[in-house]
Amino acid sequence: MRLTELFKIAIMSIRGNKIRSLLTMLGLIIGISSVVTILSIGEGASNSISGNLGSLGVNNVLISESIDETILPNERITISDYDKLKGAFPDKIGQITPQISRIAEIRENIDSSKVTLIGAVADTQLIGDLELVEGRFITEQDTLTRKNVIVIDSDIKKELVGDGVAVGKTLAVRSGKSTNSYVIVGVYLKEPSSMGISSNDIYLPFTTLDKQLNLKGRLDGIKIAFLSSDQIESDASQVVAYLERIHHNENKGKYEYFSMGSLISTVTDTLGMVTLLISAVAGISLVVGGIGVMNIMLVSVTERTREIGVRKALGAKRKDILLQFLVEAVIICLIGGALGIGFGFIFTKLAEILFATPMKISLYSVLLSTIFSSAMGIIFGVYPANKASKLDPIESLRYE
Amino acid sequence: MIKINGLTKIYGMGDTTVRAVDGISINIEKGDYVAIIGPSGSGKSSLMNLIGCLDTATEGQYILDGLDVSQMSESELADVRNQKIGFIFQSFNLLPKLNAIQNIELPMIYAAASSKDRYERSHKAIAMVGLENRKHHKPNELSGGQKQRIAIARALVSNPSIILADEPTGNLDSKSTEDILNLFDTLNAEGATIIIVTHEEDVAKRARRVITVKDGKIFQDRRA
Repeated sequence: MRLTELFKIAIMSIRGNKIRSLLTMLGLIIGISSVVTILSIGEGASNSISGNLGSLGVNNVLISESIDETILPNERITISDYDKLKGAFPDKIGQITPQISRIAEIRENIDSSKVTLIGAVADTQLIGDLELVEGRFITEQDTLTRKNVIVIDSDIKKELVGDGVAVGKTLAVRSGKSTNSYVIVGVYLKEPSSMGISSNDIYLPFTTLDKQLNLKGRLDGIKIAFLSSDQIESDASQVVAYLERIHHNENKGKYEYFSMGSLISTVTDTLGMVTLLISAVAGISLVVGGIGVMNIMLVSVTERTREIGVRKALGAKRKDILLQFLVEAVIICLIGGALGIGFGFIFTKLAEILFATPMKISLYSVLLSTIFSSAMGIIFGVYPANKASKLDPIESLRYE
Repeated sequence: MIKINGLTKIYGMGDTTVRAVDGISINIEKGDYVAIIGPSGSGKSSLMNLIGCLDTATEGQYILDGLDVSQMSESELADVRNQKIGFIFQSFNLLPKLNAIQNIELPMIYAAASSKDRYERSHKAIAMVGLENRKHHKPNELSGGQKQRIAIARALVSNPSIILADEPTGNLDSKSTEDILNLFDTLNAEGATIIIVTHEEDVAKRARRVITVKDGKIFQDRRA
């Protein structure tokens, strides 16, 4: 018997029972479309997150005191460490800035009054990739003279003066117990928030912040933009080792570094796990769908007992009957799979509109679903098909 | 054509065995027209199943067209049914989803015949039963007599050694019965070997040889 005949018989039988075939496929359609959609959303979210985080600078590393260790006063990271590091690795370090930040509040009646005060140097603009829309950034002169000047973001500016000019205005900002007045010297463009993560950062000379908070030169950390992202880990380790030599506490793990790159891989790994987990749940519905296929095939075998008898009387072998029912089950599953992938595409497009994030329909998920659905057809089709093939022709011909 | 020697079929096991066919021996020549008659429970259906290669005998030998069928595997028997036997059933047994010509082609699908071959032979067969104008009709669009004629065309299509008809007129009115029996006469006149199982005297009368089966044995074997 030819394979084309098997396909013809199967298609004819499926078309002869359209509603039932569709209902049989339903489980698979739901299962496969959800797997495709979930994998696509996962992939899209992962791409979008690494893109967003990547824009914060994959070359950037923050060196800080380790939170797991007791830091003695003479081991603290200070402005003097920053000054020493500045000239230490000219062939590796692009920009280097001290890191001090405190939460603060603007003493104005605006929505974005909760802000973060960030101690800055001139290089902070480069390292943070800040685009000025008005005025200037913090200069070396500002840090040397500890001027009370600030650079605000475009959102705050809009709330303060609308489309007017912000530079030259004075702003009162409270941090902790102290409230200070600053002159706005510049406005930078605030990037649209991604995934709801958003904060309003205000930059001021780090020396000014140091004085006002009475930090006596102590820093939260030192931010470094390396020239190349190829060897971030080893470069950062060298900087940490250098810092340990300054403080005579080699290999005690008092300092650590944190790179954007490692954050990205942590986040995408976690997201991948979550995606896999949800897919596994959706995968269960696939198994349920497969059992549905088996159920209907069993009913179909009983219903078509007489047909099987006739076919056997006319010369069909066991193998022919087995293949007939198996091919039918596989075709049902493949059609279900194709429809599932189709709906998966539609749901993904809907999710794209809903989350306003580009999703990626992965070839991998489509391939996986196709393989899975044909495997379903074979696994859950074998039993009914085998049952059909073993029917006795005499009994079957007598079946009413 | 058919040489049957001591053919026995025993159903059941242990103490409750039934000898449905009990040591039957018959020879049927090519071109003969044989009716097998007998009351229900006589074993004529069991005998027909054995002759039709739908079942295998417990004992005895059955040689069909020079082949020892009694020793064959299930798969080989399927080939024998496909190529050597044309079945005609009381309840027609046409597949309801297929149209007339597709039903006629069915045995050739299992013979893996080419589509050209299938087309030619199925159209020749439908012409022999005179239903070319009904070839695209589904079985439920045909009368009982027409259905049985399509079934006969299906039995003829693979050019079998014997045509085996099980109560072929049992579900037909007298007019259609007459048509079908005339068709059998014509086929036999053209050289077909026909074995017909029936309990109707009128039908048996048309055969040239009538074998009466009773209690699994041949009770009477006479030529008309």
